[in-house]
Amino acid sequence: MNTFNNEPEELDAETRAIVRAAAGLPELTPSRDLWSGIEARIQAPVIALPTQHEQVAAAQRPPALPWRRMALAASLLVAVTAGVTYTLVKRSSAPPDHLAAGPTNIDSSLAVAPVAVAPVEAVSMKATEQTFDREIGAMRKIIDDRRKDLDTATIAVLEKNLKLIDAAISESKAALAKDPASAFLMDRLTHAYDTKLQLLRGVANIPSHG
Amino acid sequence: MAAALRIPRVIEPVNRHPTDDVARAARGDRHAFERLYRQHVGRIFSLCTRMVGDRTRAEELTQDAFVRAWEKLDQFRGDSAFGTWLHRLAVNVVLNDRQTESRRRGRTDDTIEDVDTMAHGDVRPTTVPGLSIDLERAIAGLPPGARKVFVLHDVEGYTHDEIGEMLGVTAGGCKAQLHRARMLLREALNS
Repeated sequence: MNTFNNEPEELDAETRAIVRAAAGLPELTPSRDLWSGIEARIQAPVIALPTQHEQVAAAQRPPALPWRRMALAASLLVAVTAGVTYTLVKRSSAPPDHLAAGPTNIDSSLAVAPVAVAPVEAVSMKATEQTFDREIGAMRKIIDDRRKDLDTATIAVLEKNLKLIDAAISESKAALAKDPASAFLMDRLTHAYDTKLQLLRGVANIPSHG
Repeated sequence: MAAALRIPRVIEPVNRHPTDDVARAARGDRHAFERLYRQHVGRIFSLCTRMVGDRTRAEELTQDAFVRAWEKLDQFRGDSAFGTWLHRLAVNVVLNDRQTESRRRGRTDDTIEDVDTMAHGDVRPTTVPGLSIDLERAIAGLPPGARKVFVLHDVEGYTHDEIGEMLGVTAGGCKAQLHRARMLLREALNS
């Protein structure tokens, strides 16, 4: 920006007064403190806001398909988690090594994809949950701020899927309460949290429907 | 008439160590970034409010601008003052905002609106003698294109070339919009 701004037009007194008044307009003050909203957003995991080009591209994509996929994924998660939880709780009499030995020892009828199980000692489930809770809270805040910009059908699908995932989380937690040392259950719980976070991230990234 | 000389609005606020906070914020220090926010929020909010003519939306855009600044702080090389960089970034946030325009869609772009109908919050009136109604309200009532050019040029001090680059129009087109805005403001202020 230049230090001085030449205005070459011939201006009458009235227009000059307007220009002078415009240049001297005072600073305005927001009606509320905006920092808390900014802080919540910058504390959240980095989300690249879509550019105008990306928004146009997103608007041109068929809208329903990703949600069907997401709903399917959430339903699958619930089914798998519930099945695994039920089976593991039912087999509570089995030796602990049975689970720690890895997914190859799990009944193949469960048809669960192989899971990389982290060493139980290295994982503090409570800390993991706190991290997820914080990030999920930040995502929810972003979505709450954007709620009026989002399509009501999108919000409805989101809430429905969140209920399913939350149910899966509750079941995993209940199973973990009975078998706190189970790395497999911890992994399932982590996976459910991660699915929830990914779902919220996906919604936070949706362009405004206006 | 002699050419009018105006000092542009974007002046770095007084701060003993402005670059310290910028550097700290760039390293992820949120407290430093909050101090930068406190320093600059008034000017950024004023810019957004006048460019979009809607204080509620301007508050959201102000937040967007600061979030965007946080995300891009590592790209700030110090070639310009931080305030100038932030101001330009905020202008881009407003210009890229589709929601504001869609909200205002339906309002005529050819005539100035009835300024009394503008829901505009507690704007402070100017003290320039002879202005019959609030200049802030009159600016808010301008058609979007004319309003942006007027605010960027007459309020914020950008040149026609700079505005033309921002808006993707020629300097001549920018001048035409400015002339139109001033004429509309005269009408509004005299009504």
